[in-house]
Amino acid sequence: MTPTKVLVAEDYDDARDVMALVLQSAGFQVIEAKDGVEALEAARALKPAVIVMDMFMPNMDGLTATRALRDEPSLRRIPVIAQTAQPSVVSGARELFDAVLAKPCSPDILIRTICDVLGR
Amino acid sequence: MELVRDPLLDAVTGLASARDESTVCTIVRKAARALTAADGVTFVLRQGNHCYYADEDAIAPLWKGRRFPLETCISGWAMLNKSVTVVPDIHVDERIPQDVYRATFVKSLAMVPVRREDPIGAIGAYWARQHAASAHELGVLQSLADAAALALRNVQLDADLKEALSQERQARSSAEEASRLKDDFLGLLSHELRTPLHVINNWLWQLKQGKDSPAGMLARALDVIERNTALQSRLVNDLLDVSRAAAGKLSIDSKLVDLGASCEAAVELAQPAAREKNVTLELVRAEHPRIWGDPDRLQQVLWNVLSNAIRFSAPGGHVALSVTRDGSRAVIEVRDNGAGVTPEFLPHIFDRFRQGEMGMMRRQGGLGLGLAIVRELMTLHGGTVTAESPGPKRGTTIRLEFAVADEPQAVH
Repeated sequence: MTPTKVLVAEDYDDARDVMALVLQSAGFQVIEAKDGVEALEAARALKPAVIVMDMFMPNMDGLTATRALRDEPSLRRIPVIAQTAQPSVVSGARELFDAVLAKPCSPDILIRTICDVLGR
Repeated sequence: MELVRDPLLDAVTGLASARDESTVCTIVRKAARALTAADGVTFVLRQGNHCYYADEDAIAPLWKGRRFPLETCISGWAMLNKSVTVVPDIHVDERIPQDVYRATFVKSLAMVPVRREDPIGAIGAYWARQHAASAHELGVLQSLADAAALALRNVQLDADLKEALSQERQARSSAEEASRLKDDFLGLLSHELRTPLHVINNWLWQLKQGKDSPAGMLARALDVIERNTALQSRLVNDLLDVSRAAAGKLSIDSKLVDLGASCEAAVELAQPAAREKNVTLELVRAEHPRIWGDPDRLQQVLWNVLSNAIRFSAPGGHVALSVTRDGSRAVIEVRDNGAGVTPEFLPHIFDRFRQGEMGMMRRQGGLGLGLAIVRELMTLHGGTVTAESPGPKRGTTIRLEFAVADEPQAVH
């Protein structure tokens, strides 16, 4: 069975690196994106099973990227988990996301949440 | 039935609703003339020790727009003595300044004070013939004056009220602005503290898994954890500095410092951050003025300015530092060709809790306290810091100025 693809959109290199390691350890295949623009491109090209989206990012922030995903018929069903150090920024757009996690967030919780939104 | 119109009642009604001084003047001069059948009337306002001839209605010009000392004219006399004055023949009354009247048609006059108990003005009526104002004429003038006094008080109250309202509105809006800035700052603070913590937490989890970690994983983890711990320490130290400064408890420990050497050290220290971002950092000119300063705090000032310049430079950008002596001043300039500052934001660049509005597209990094701390430390050094920018994307120059220390006497 091929591993489940998780797209991690995160601008802070240190955070993206370690999240990739953590998710690989948990058996996922990880795709990395440094901002909202890269996240959209990667989602279109590689069709991940789930997206873990940071909110504050240069070029295109996570909120805007998620809205764009929801507007594209081929992408709108991909579950998106917001993972942010400032959860108040998604409070007005909660319905865009399948889950919202506040940083710092334990990898155990992230992994369980990914499984939840995938219905496993 | 036809309504009978009474000019005095019309005037009183008009004055009751007047909301500015010029309306009061107009009503008073028209009514005064109509009620007395005088050849001219004046409406005089007291301004400190002067009478101001605010308005007039006459067969030929009188003194509209002119000011006279209270003691030198009859309107002043009426105000100072709080009494009605009748002058049937101006040539036989010693209170009349003849030269002022010579150019006018006036042969006789009557003057009533506005607000009897503490006059704020007077209404004058003038005739081109000798005439002793009748009790009826004086009575209507005094009634008009009383109504005018009330109307002027209304105008003043109205203006005071508007002024108080606008002050209150201004105070409330600046309090709201300050509170919004603090809320934004708390959001940013929480974000900036949680981000490194998230990284550290994830690494600890990863290390605890313990199994099949490739070689070098531990060293990589320690490196990242160290960097993120340092980042958090810096945030906490900045916060402490800002709160100490706000409490007036920030202090420096001064020694004689070679500013050129300080700058060389600071540039050396900031090179790794510049390299990491592919920004060229150069010390373009280093003279060696000596100043009284706190070496550690000076390093902090320089680090804050340099790291800011690097952070707001694009890859391939250029940051240049120069230190020179200009007469009795030592001047450090840090010039970058990076993000620049809008003219609107430039005045706030050294304020606490302010960062350029970048919304959710801002990059990781910093609380926006660095330059506020620089300003505090420069003030403690008796120096100044200023910023210039030609505009967005056109770079910024930060200029630090200190007084050069007096040359110490040579010791033998």
